[in-house]
Amino acid sequence: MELPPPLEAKFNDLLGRYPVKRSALIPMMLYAQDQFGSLGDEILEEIAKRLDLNMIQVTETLAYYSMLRRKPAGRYHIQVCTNISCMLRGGNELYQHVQRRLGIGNKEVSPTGTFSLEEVECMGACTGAPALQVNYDFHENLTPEKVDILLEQLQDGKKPKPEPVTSGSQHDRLPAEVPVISRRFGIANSHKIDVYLQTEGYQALEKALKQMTPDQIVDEVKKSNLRGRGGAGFPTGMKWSFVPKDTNKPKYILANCDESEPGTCKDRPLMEMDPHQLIEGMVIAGKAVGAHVGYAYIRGEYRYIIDIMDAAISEAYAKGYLGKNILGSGFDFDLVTHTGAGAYECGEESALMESLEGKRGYPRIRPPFPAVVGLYGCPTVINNAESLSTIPAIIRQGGEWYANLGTPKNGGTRLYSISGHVNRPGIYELPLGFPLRRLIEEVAGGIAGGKKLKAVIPGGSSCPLLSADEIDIPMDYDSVAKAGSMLGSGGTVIMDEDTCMVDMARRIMHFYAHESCGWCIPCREGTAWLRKMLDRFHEGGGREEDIPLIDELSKNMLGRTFCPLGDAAALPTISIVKKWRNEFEEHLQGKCSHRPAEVIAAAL
Amino acid sequence: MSDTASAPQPLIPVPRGPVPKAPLRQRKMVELKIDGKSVSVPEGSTILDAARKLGIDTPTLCFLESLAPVNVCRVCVVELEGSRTLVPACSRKVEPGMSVQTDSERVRLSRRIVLEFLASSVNVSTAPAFPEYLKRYDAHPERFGLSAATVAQPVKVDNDLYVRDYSKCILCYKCVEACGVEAQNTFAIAVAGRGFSAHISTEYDVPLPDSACVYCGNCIGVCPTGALMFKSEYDMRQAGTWDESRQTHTDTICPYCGVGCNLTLDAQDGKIVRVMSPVGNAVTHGSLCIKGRFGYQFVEIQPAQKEK
Repeated sequence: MELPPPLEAKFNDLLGRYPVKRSALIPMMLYAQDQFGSLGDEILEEIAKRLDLNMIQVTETLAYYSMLRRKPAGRYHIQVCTNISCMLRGGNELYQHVQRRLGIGNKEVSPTGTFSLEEVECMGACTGAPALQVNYDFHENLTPEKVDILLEQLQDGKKPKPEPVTSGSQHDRLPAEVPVISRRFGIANSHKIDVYLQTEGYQALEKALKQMTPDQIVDEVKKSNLRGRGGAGFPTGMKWSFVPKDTNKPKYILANCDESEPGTCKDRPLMEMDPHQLIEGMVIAGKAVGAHVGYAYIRGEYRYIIDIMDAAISEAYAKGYLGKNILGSGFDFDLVTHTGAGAYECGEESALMESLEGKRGYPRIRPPFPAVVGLYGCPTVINNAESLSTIPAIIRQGGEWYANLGTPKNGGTRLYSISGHVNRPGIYELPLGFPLRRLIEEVAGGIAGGKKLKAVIPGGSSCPLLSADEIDIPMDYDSVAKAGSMLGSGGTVIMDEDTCMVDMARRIMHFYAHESCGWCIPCREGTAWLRKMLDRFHEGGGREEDIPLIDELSKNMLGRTFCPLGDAAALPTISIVKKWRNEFEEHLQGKCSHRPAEVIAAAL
Repeated sequence: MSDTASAPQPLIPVPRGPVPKAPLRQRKMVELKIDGKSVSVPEGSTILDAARKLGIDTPTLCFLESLAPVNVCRVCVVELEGSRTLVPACSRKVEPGMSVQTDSERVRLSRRIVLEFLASSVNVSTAPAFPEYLKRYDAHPERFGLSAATVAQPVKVDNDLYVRDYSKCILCYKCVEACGVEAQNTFAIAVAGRGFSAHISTEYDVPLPDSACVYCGNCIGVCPTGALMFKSEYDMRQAGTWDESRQTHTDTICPYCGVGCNLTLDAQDGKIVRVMSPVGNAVTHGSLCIKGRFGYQFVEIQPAQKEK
């Protein structure tokens, strides 16, 4: 099959990126779909041929990823997010508005083929909620009126201007903020290498390569008390020290940029405005563990971010910060991006590796852990994009300096993406241990519309919810854990007093049921079941015995599933049933004393 | 002509003197405690192996000795001291000093929920292990209400050899493993979809005759629920004539080629109704080919018919 030259070039580029051909499968399918609108038999057979795969290997992989499709979408594929952050600010209403306006339902295409519509899960625009994507373009802070203008422009063949930068990431610095990794946010062209170099860029790399031994780098990171920013909060330095030194196998550095925890959108601005910081962090990590190849696995929805990262990587190669003999130190490091194709589960480290190997994103059994047996069966360091972006500052200014910014065992600062019913949703860099109450009242400007606070999700939708009387805690891993929740990925979602918690539980479970990979029974069946029960409740058809049953089933997913996705679905549910049980009981009597999310949002 | 010259020469010269023996490698033994009892098993064994050695019956659904463990059903989970989560006994390797509980309240509850999930959404009527497991763990699938989400769907009958009834599928992935790298390397079936809509499918869900299937039937051999079934068995069940109490099981060797695969012929009223091979067999590990599995009809041809 003859391919259009740009796609042919892309395919060849992709083939050169991996030691195993199959790794190119998912990117190839996604780029081919961009070209042809959908994945027909002919192109899939062509891809199978080029990668030496049989058809079932291609189709099983295709069937896993929600962005890949066999049927064409419209020329403009409108994807409206209705996940929690968007829901709280009118996502449902926006979705219904687009549906009415286009006269098509979910996953349908308009008769002329101009538009198609899809209700999607969190797309990483939580601080600009409600949001939608037209193909790969983000449009944020929407209202029905703004959407009407947007659709008219598309109808007239004009290209509406996408969101220039992640909403809420650029703002006047508050006194409480301590910009370390976000310090270049707002500087013009901060994604360019020249600007990066003018602002102490690649100085840490020079120091690490020329003045430090691998052990010294690991020690410095250990001293910094940096803990993983992806969710689990595992100490980064310790993770690095698990990589075996005496092995003949190649080693890999993976940046987990598959940000998809609902309520979280901090890796997006980090890569958008400071891609070189992440690149520098990855090369230093490579030096620390003796790895010479790195992959940045970026979620498929972030296509423009992938383009920014690719451009930054090219700049770094051209200036000698990547490639052979970096800065004359004799150290080699190659780095490429890899696109996902729509699967929350691929943010789980072992599922991410499977996905990077071109397979369905199923998690792997542990032990063995990735540090010993990871990508392609080789020792692998996998860190969150934010964790890796922190490394240059730690090396430049010292682990101790970084540690002292935070609290004991919780070093440094982190990015919070604050969304929901607050006056100033946005992305803020705060020191670890910052009080949650101040974060809501001072940093995010308090609850919108003068309402009272009802509930907080501290770090993404997989965290147990905190009620209004539980917010006098410092935001560090240990204190939030002590309060019965998790610091997670820093996606703080705020709900006001009118929010219906049954609805919240329902929407959260919809997400996890949608994203369950289906591999293990407790998660596959459990999330589907809980979704069904919570739907029933929300519609007023619940049974009294369902309240303890929801609780029991959730508790029985906790720690029993193959990977932590089951925990992620169970934890918020258990906390909602425990803390707002009265609302479930009210629903049994056909009452909901709260306003539906869309009504609250309309009043904001 | 001397006697020695007339003796037949062996094709391979018989070695003179004693045949060298490979030195016996002593496998290191690992000692652990299960339910308070000490047990010692070779290094590399699983908790399941150790439990079986003690005679503890640990339920399994997705596990099969001849396939790599996929750890999905979670029905074999046990409590391991020091571990936050329950661990799958079928794949977790033993370590010295481990302390394992196989029948604690936590374990029983976990197993019960898994069984309830499955029995409420899947038709387990032909799964041999289920009735006993449901009783043992006091599982009541009906408590989820009548509106339970199910995977109910019509039976796929698209060839003369076997049928696929995915309303009976618990997604243990054994068939996918047997069809792929673990045994057959045919790659006719795999998982499609995700989450609750995940299901076993041929490429693009085409009928079996249009897929890469070679009808080895090894997927039937490993299926724990009867979702994959001989057409002969399916037809008899439909007609109400399937009766295992009237069946005999005869072990024999496949006559087709020189490999010598072991067969177990299940016959009812003197007619072969199903052909399997024992999983524990050293020659087949349970796998057969289309001829051994399905090519038995000649047995029933009478001599008079043969001459025609």
